[in-house]
Amino acid sequence: MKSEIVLATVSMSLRVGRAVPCAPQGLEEQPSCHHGAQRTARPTWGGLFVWGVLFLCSATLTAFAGAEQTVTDLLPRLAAARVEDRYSAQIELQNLAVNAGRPGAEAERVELANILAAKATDSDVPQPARVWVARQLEYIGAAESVARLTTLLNGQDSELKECARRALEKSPAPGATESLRAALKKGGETIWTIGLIQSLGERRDIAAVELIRPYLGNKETALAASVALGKIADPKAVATLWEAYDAGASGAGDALVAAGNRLVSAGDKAAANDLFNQLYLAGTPQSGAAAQATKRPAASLQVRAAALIGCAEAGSQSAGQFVQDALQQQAPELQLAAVTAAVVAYGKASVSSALAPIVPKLPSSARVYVLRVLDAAHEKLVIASAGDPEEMVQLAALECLGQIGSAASVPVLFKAVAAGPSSNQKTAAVALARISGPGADAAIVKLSGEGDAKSRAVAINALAARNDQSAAPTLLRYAGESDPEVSAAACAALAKLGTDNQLDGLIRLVLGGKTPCAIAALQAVASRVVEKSAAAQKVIAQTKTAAPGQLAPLFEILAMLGGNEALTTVSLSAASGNEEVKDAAIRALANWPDFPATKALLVIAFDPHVKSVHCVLAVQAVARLVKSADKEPAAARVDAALAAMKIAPRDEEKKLVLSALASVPDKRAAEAIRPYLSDPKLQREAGLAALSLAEALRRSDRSAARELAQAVKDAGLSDDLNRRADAILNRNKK
Amino acid sequence: MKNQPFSRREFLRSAAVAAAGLSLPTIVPATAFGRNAPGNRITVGLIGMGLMMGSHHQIMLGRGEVQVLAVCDVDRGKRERARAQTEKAYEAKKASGTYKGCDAYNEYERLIERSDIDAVVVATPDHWHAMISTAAMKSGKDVYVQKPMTLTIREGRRMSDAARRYGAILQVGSQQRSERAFRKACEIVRNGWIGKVHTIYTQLGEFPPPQTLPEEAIPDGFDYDRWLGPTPWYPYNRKRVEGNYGGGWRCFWEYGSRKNGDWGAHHFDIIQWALGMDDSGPVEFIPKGFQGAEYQSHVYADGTKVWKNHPVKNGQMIQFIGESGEVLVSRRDLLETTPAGLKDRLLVPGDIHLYESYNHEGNWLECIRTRKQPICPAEIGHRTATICHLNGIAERLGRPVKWDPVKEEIIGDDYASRWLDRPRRTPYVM
Repeated sequence: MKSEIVLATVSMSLRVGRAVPCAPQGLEEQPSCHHGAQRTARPTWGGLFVWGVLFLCSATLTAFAGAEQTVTDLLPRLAAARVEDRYSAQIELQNLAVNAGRPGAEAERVELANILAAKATDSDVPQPARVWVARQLEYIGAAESVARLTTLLNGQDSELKECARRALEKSPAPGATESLRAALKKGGETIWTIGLIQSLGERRDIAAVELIRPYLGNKETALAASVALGKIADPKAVATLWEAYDAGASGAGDALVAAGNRLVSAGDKAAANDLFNQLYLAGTPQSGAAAQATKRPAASLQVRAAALIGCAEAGSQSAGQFVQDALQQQAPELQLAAVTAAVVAYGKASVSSALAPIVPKLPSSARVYVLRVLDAAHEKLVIASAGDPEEMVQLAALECLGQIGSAASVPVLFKAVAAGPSSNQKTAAVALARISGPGADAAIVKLSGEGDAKSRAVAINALAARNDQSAAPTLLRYAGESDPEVSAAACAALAKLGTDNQLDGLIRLVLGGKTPCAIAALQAVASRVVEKSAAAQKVIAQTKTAAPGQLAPLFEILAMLGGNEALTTVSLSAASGNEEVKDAAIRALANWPDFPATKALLVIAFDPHVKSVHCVLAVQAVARLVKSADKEPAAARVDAALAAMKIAPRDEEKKLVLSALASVPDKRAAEAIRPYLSDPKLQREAGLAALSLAEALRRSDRSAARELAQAVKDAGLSDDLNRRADAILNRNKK
Repeated sequence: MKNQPFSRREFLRSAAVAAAGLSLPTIVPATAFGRNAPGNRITVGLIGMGLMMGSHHQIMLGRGEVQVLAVCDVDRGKRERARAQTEKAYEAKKASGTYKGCDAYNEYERLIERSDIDAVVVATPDHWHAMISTAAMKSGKDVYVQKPMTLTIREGRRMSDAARRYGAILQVGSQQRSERAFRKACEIVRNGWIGKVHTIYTQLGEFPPPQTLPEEAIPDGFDYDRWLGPTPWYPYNRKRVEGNYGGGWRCFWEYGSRKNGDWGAHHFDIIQWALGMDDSGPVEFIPKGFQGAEYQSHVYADGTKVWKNHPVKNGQMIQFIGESGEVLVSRRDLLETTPAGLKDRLLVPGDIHLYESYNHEGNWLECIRTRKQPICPAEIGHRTATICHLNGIAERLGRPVKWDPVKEEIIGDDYASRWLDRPRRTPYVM
């Protein structure tokens, strides 16, 4: 019973061409599949194995019969009158074919390929169906389909001929080559012969070389012929290409390069070596074994470059000599190829040692290319090259030092940075930021502490560029030095690298009053403090001993850090009898980041003795905090806003509060705004705030939103506001 | 030796080396011909004047060191519009107010054979990339080619080899490498700051399925045979050839690898970079649907698995999940990390610093002058395209594909191996 079910499933799956186990995405697993075999229910005892084999054979045979029917059934759909309707059948057939090509299903593949080949050659099958069927043989056709594909190849239908050519090009069967070769012998239109030549080249058909040779002389077929011969790359093909090359045929040089590469990958390095040597030397005066090259036309620079690299890949004994020769020439293409060839010939580990000795004798552009592959063992040479008269060489050397340099390179990089604006300066600065060889770090740190101020500033800038936070304590020390250039550089570096650990030190510098640049560094460090509470405590401790005149920057830092303790400290100072302290504290509170500061700010604003400037600052700050504190309870925000509105000294602040109320999606906010719709001085802002709030309220309280919009409309403030109010009312109809 | 005269191009190349610097914009010394003098410019030809070329065209016209000498497209309307646009742009910079120095070609061969053109930008559909780019490199030109670099894996190997052997500067248009957030994300992963990465999710989206389309009349001035080029013949239909981010030719397997090629060439590329696999690749590709797999995936030899179209946290484009953290990254400089501070952590000299580029086209132009490797050279483009194509192959086969990234061969599946290259329609030869 079970076997019948499986049998039926397999048969069905092949017929519909969909539910095959390995068919593309979304399809069901079935037991006939290679992968699916692991998933099939396994016999529970050994005796079933024999029966299982018999069953599978039976199932497979039945499946094949089903495959024929499936393909037959698909044919009308593959040629459906409405072209768009062909797609699903095409995919079903393709899935059937690719599934048959899965590993371990050879019998199934052969059978299906036979079916497809028969249908493709069946003149009773509609042409569009034959084309699609033939295309599947490109993916799964082998020996079994050669004969029928050959029939198509020699037929009259150009589309089917092309399908057959493609399928034969891909077929692993030797007979496919013979069919293609025979077709080329037969000849035909130029466009057709080009295709055949191409296919024979892809198949590397040695026997086709003589057939292809005449096509080298025809302008229209020459490229296809030379490309094909380059792929075939046997001695005869290579000799034929040399003839073409000597005759000046375009494309022959590139084909020879391709042939050489083919020989290298096939392991025939001796033949490749000979070919590349000849090609590299072509047209140059030579003697001895290479004399033949003299008579040849010179290859293009690109071909010579490729030949040079080919020599190295073929393990040519001449490669080293050619590399030196090419480096000495004035052609940058050859110089660059020489360095690539040298890396191949000597290996990445040895190329530096091989090329370093010749660097001083090379043209400047070649020196540049060689400098790019020198390693740390040749640091001295690179350092010397940084003093080369040619700017291009200096730059390459400085760049190289950034990659390979050690402590010994630091002074020369230093000198280039200190010399002033130039390409060298930029390159050297980048190199100093990256250099990581032995002792480089320590050398830069050392230089940052000695010499004149300008040079020390260069070193300090380098420490900053290296992002090395371990330098921060040293930088803090330099920040406190009396020289303004050193101090400024150190403060700038600390602004980038300083951490919580430098907070104390920076505060001391600020309080010391002799390091104006320390304030910016302190602010930068405070802005990225991780442990804000701990940092705030450090600052609070400093406030206790600081003179009144020193408190302002500390309060500013506390305002950046926020938190309750900081708020308490600053709030208390806002009530100080010392005007200087009071002013600094109120200004800090005005910049406070957290909503709880509103309480202290309102106390200030309501203080009957408060200076008007402080009152303005406090109300503005409350409005800002109400607006930004979207995570605070709406009631608290509205309360704060109402209080601020009550004490706001000027219309400007009242407008800010109205705007803040608009950001609180709460009915009380709406109620707070509404009276101002009739205030001649504030009604415009109240209208805008009301509509903004109505939009926000639409999601939570449609009725309140409607009422607010209606209130704006009733106020008749402007056509624009009326239109907007109408739009809200229309969207919120009951 | 110094007194030997250089040709203009030779001078351009050797003098350019003078400007070699670490990731710095470089300009040939003004003393040579005077800054922005004609001989000081990189002369460029643009091939494929469709959707993708739009921004390249504008960028090239806007750069003082570039002179666009020719445009090429198989659509007469497009190439003539591009020619007019180019000449208009240069007219505005001429005192005379007239400029007629841009040629327009139907055949790319005619553009490439010009010895006065230094470099080409190739923004055709994918099936033309390899043929045009390789021909350009053989003629000594440098190439900027849109992603994915090729249509097939074998084309990619040939193209990468050609770039290396002919010494061409080839930049693949996977421009996310030139975006800060992607580089930073890769540096975080490469430096091990989130521990060993084991899972990566990425969103590529989906195209509608391809279609069989009825024949329509070929528009006047459109060289349809050339548009098809080496791909199999199909009757003309506008939907087949149109450039369209949501479909058009991108939907068809004949001209690309669908979303795996279209967006995979960006996101798989970044993943390769982050994993330090630029010269290698995954070892297995598993299609969606296989053994009930909900998502397509591919796996690296160390077990790191990349899932396509698996939801990515916060709607980001790529999510790297490591043993001790996560990195989420998208275009528009969006970068999130867990722990949060990682995204702001600074590199120190001993850390892995990746290639810095902030402008993909600018990096290519700079490298043309310095003869340094650009940020996304042919080998990298080839390795990324290989992933795109192998995912596409597995999808079409409906079974997993095992891959040897050293030998660049499919393991144990002869018929799958046939998909590594495609026969070319005559008379298009590569």
